[in-house]
Amino acid sequence: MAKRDIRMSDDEIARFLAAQSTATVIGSPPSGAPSAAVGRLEYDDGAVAFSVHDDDPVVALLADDDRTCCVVEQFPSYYEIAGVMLHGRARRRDAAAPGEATFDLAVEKVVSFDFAKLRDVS
Amino acid sequence: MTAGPARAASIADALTFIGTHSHVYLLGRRPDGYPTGWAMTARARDDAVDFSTYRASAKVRHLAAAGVASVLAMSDDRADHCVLLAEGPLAVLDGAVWFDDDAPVAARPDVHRQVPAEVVEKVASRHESGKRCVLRVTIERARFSERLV
Repeated sequence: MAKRDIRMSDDEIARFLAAQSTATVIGSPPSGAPSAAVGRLEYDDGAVAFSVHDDDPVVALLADDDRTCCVVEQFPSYYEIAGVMLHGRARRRDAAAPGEATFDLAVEKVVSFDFAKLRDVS
Repeated sequence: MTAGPARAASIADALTFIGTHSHVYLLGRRPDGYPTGWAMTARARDDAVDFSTYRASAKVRHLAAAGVASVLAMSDDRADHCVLLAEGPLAVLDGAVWFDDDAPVAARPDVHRQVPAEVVEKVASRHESGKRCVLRVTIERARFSERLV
């Protein structure tokens, strides 16, 4: 049986990201296990940014290697599970709220899933 | 508004947190060096966290090659800001391990209650047939931090 395509369209991704406010931001050292922080997502007409505590270890990781993955997900119920993974490069803004580090994300790859599409084809 | 210094967590506290909080991610690295993460169904065990996935998936190849991974857990309750990050070596195990009796705690309990019966049956069948495997991260280090809201 063919694998079901549960990816979101570009419009669906835009609507999903506009409705979310939390992002899991992952950074990686040259070797060893990745680290991650949970912060605030900003999405405005295709532009993605995120903020995390400025003393979180992931900030130093992104300073050394700007490659990151930003995961945005919801799961109020099984068929409402949906998410977007944004891979790209993070550039820290000079200005941010006190105690925060804010990064603009130059998105290079997007992966999405929407479990509602499983129900649609059942 | 700062997170403050991250607090080291004992392995026992880390596994209890993972087993009782609804959002669990497995974190690794792609072959091109980019970090990545997957929200997945997980089970907390004595000293490790198990994840169920398809043996043929790319993540299995990539994580097995790396041999190490991280686990992030947090609550879906926005009033609960605590986040746990744990890490350790990763092993790929036979799918039947998923049903071992010593894994009483399943993460994402709210979602589990809503998973359609046919999905639960299909997952069980895929574990028994070997199409699904278990990715086990043995926790060696863990810390708590706070999410930024």
